[in-house]
Amino acid sequence: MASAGSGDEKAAAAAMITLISSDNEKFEVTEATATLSQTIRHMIEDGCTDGGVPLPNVTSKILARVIEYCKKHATAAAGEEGSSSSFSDAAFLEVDRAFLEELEEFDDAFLEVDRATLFDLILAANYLDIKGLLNLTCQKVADSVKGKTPEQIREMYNIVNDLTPEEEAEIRRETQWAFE
Amino acid sequence: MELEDAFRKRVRTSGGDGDGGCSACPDWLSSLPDCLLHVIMSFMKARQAVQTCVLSKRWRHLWHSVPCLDIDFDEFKKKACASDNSSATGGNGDSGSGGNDNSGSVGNENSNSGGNDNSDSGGNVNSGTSGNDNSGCGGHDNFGSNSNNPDLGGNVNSGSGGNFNSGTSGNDNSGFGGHDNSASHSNNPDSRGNGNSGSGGNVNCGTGGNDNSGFGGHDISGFGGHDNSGSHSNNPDSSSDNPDSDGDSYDSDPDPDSYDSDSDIPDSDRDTVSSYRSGSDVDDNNYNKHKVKDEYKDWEDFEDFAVSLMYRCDIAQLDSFRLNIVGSRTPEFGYRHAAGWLRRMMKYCAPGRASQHVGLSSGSWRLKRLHLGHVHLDNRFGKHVSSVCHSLEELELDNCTCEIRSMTSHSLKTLVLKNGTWRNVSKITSPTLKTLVLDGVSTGDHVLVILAPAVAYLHLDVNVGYYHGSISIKEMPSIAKASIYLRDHRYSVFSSKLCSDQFKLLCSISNVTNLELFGFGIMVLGEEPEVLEFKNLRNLLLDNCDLSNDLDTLVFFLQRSPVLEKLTLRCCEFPRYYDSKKGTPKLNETSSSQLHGLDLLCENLKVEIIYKEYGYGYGHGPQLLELLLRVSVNLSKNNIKLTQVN
Repeated sequence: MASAGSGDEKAAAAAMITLISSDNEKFEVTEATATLSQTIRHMIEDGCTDGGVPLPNVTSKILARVIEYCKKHATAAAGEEGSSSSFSDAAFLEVDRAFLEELEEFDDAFLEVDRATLFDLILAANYLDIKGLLNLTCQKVADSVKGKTPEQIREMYNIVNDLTPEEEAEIRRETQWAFE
Repeated sequence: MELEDAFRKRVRTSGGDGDGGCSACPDWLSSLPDCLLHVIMSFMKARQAVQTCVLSKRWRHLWHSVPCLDIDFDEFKKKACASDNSSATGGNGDSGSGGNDNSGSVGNENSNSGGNDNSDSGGNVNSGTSGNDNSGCGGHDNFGSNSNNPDLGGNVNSGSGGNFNSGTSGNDNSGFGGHDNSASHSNNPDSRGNGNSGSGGNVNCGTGGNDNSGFGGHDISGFGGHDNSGSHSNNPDSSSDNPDSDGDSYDSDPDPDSYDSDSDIPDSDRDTVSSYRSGSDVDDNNYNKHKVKDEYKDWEDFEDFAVSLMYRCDIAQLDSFRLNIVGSRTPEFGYRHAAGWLRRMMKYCAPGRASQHVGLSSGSWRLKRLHLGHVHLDNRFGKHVSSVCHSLEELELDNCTCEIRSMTSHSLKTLVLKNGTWRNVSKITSPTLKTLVLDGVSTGDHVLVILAPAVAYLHLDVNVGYYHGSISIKEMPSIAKASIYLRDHRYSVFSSKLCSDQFKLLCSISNVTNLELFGFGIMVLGEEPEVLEFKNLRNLLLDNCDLSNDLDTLVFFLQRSPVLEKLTLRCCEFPRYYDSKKGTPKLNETSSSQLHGLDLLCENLKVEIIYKEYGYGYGHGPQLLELLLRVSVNLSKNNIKLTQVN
């Protein structure tokens, strides 16, 4: 996935886009993969992707993961279109289901990352405007605190409580209805 | 605080989390920009999202601007489970009956349409609602007996009856006042647990006068049960017509003594207890009181939360709103209450709008997604969606009881109606709708008409065996994919209208490319079948369809589908006439000549037959295969696939 080729010689020309990470690593991806990112889609539409797309906010480690996500979701979308006419497949609706299940499995595995990576993915998804990835990663964070008390959440994410006890008591009074 | 502790303890014991924090890590979460924290909070249930306000200064006000709210009774169930366990010994019999009440409520409501009519005639603005409550509670009978009857189950009903009735009407008349009161309650930390009474009391009080006028003695008595919870054993009549008395009685309400003496259950229960006691005041069985507390504890917490939050948030500015009053633990009156919250929120919770006092807030809402679960919706909801929700793209009503007569949307893209009951002749119009899902919807004797010409995906799954009503889907020329499941009609003594309208249904989706039909049968052959052509149909799945009429139904589809590429027959019922010696089906002349006609139309048709080995009337795939081959010249054996399932 991480092609070491230089940005000048793009093999598949028009269909390929070169992404350049903050640490200057180059990734060559298909346009279909790249355009899952609205940010890149707009750059392509504006015709400013020649010579590669520099992504100064994304490290190569994170960009590789992001591309992995985009590739999977791009091919899934394409595969879904092409499959319904294939005779060997089961009924067409079941085809959809199979794809969705496969994607779900991929997403679950994709989220098996440490917390630093997860937050980097959130930031990258936001920067690149990849809605599916942003929702996926944010959902993961939300799930991680599900059913936890504020104290537990603080502990879990090392959130420093800078409220004075009085302030906290006041806030709890104001929102008592949410704590009963 | 003690609740908090209990909660914490529960979480610790139940869900030791795998991804515990690393002590050296920086606070990545708080360092995210607000917009991303909002995305994360949008995935939380509403209570947890609000609770983040005490994390740190950074978090204090974030919840105010969360674009998505998900208010779910589910979030309030856990404490109840704990208390259930603690009092599990004998209370279960009772709580079992309570549970029955709750779960039975749906059934009651469904079967209570007669009662609705009555209430309508009551002339209440809310008539639909209040009337239903009365009847829906099923509590009327119980109710009468309750006041003299210490029987616990009865009391529960009476409580709910009172709450219910008054709750609804109160909303109409002075609902807002009640709301205010509840808001002020929460500012009073000393009266913890007031929320409970607040919600009950407020609503009830607001109601008082109104309901009395509407319902006479019935309501008063019903009222008594719960009103006391608010005003603490005042005569319910005294509180009527005077909204202020709500607040007062409320403030004076908390009575730690009565609470303490009642139980060791968390304080917020005391209102229920006192209401219970004062309302029925016959029961001196402590044990039963526990049970009542358990019954309503989480509901009351939930109600306080939902009402407070909905009062504070501006629904007009939200992207997404979800309210789910889930099933089995919801008291019967809960469904009505929730309808009231929603209505008030829609009416009044658009701060700064000039039209507040007139009723529905004007102007356009930003709201894109609205999901409601287990809420009663009256016609005003439909009007509201039509007139105000101009950005609404996704509407999902799950298990809602709808008395909507008409609803129009020029923005809706997805409409999902699941398992609800439609109690009126209803019409839904949306020229923009792309996806329509009707799953388990029941229409009683009524007709649900859907005018949505732009729909591209239709999923219709109804049990047609148990009612006479119908779902009428007007023409959908843009349809690409449709799956229609008609369940149970073959074994039904009723003949559902929808069942006999199979043909009409097919006509309205005749442009479809992918079609999946479940449970269609002989009746599909309508009066003028020749008019119909599936000119775009490429994939057809017939699932559990009745093809036993000399394959006429199959022929019907094949002759009308000139570009069909793939036919799947799944567990269908085939003709059962067999040659007893050879075991091969005999064809009568009609069907074989009809089948010959197919060859021209579907030259390269691929056929897959999925059959059950032993299914009565369903099996015999190989025989069907032979049958098809014998009559069809063009059909190549290579294009037929047989699959056996169990």
